[in-house]
Amino acid sequence: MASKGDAREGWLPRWYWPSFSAPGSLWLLVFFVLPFYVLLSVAFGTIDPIFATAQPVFDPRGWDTTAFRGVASDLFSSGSIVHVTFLRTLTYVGISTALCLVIGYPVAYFMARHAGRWRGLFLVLIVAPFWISYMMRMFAWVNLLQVDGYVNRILVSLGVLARPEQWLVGKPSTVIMGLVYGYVPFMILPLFGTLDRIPTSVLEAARDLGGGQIRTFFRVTLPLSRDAILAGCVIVGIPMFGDYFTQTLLSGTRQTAMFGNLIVSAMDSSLVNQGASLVIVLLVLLLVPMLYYLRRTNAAQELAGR
Amino acid sequence: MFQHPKDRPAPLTRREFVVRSALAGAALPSLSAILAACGSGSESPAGGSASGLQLARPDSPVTLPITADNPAVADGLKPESGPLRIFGYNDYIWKKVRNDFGDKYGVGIEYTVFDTPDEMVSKMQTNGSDFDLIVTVTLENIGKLAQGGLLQPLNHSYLSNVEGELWTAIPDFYDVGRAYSVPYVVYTTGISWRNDEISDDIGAMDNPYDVLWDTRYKGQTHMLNGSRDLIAMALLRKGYDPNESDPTILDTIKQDLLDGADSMGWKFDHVDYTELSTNGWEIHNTWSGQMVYYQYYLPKGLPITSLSYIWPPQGAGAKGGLISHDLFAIPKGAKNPVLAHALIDFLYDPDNALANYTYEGYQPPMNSLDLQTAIAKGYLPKSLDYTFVTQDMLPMGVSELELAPTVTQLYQQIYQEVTGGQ
Repeated sequence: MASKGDAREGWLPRWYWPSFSAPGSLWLLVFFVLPFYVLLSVAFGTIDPIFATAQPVFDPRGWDTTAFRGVASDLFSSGSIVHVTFLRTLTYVGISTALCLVIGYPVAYFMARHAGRWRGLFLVLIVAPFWISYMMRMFAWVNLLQVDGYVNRILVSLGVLARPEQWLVGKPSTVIMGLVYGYVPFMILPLFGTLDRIPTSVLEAARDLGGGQIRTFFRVTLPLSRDAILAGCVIVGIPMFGDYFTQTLLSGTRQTAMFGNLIVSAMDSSLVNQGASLVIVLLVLLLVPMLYYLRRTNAAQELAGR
Repeated sequence: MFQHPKDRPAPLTRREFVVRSALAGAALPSLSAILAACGSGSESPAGGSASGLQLARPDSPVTLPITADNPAVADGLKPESGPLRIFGYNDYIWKKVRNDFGDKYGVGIEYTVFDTPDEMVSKMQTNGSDFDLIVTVTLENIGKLAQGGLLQPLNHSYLSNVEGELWTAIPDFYDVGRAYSVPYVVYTTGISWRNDEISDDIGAMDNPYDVLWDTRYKGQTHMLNGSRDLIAMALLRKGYDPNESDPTILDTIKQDLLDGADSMGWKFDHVDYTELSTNGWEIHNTWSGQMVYYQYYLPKGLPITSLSYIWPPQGAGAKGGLISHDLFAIPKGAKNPVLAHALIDFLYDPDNALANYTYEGYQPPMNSLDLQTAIAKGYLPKSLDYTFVTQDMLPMGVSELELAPTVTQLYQQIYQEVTGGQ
């Protein structure tokens, strides 16, 4: 016998429910697929012989892969600017993402478990930086980190530094600090969402079975939040990889240049084929953690479904 | 002003380069490919090329062609009703002066900004007719824009102020007879420093450019963030032409720059007026027009006299130096060409020009503006008199001029390697 729900849906055409995805699909087509195809056309296109600007080739039969192959080759050529910058960016992103997690997890845990009626306030405070543009927030750090800025004044007055430090002269630590500052809210929010949904009864069960606070955390809370950790790392790490503005403002030197700087610089010059190729290479590289994340979440959903 | 002359790609092709680079060279993925294309190419005679484009040089002037299908606007027409659409560097004409012009002609003014010359060229290719006036075109771009059919010829009958005021010494070898362009501002590129922090008299050095490699100032030195300016400075330091195209020489220069970037920790930007004044940076490769801005950004109690500037040809060592001027041009298909001419001429009216100069810092090359007048009328503080450019200085310097596309790409590849893409 058909259920009540089946009977209600029986008269709907087959395209009814799938059609709900049309706006999203259209949005993806117009704002992702088409622009990405243009990017491919630039990467595999030519350069105007007079103006030295990009001449996209839209017909794949006319694509020239020389620039792309050059970039891909440079990526694995020790000492090349692409190789060196990629490894540096990987290092910065790895450290910054780890720091975001180290900073973000306790904050999210506190908000989910112990903030009580102040939880809403904390959430607002976490989101508050987004009310100000990323650029303006980085400009603020430029002022704070100047030789006579408040950071130096405070650190010197506390005795942490003997004399003011020059933070803006190409220090990797300054760039990493800027990345962590800019992206840590993106780590906190998914962690909070997951930690908040862990049923109290599960934790109580762990306690009833003899688990102490620390053991309960490592045997129950942490495993249950593993997917949120992964999501936070992906959400934070992927945009960091393409970030160039933080480095430009807080350093601006060759020693701290990131992959995004190479892309922007190339796209803003007659090396535009190379710049578009760098974007494609970056996209392919970032697909790896993205696919891992999708695989993990799918596996978790299947497990939950069983 | 923001993002003044930087990143100046100026690709004009030469016969060998176009032919040999048409396929693989067009994409040019690596330095080796660029070097290969450059290495075996020979200089084209008198800048001639297969496409009819020419690379202008002082000893090889170029008369940009005027074609029947792209004539100058006719004589004696009334200015259009606007709005006048200007395409320029951010705030490159003082808003008050723009408004004064709008009030005089009863028109609105729309100002669209570009950040780099590359962006300007790119938008001119696709949307050039959306604009009535470009402020500004750098010397290395005027030839390709005109010969590429993106500009319309000027009608000098509308430019009476220009004819009476423009310095006669300003060269026009890149556009003989000024068929498509009129100079807007003139400037030098030199070295500025905080003389309260640095005891060395950089101007008295035999080679002032060496200070940019002096490791005593590691972490204290800024360089301009444009491929042409950065490489030109390194070329001039070694006594080469700032428009050098020999790949062997450029490879040597690249090594010098890499050494400097590694040993000095150069920071690359063009906002020296804030950095040098407030952020503890002591030395900056900079443009003369920028120096006027410093007074507005100095920390409290620091006098403007604590800043110095040297244009190397005027130093004790009399090294080569950059001197250049930016240009006005009118896009082909402009809807308000007579109005655009009127604004050019308006800015050559002494009162308007001087008002604009007090804000912009970059000076117009006008007869009625001399150093004594500028100081006496308060347009320029006496302490900044070294930023003033005179006609006598023009023969002492050289300009960054058009390069073949392959050479431009080589410059930009070197720049990317040296700066990491700053």
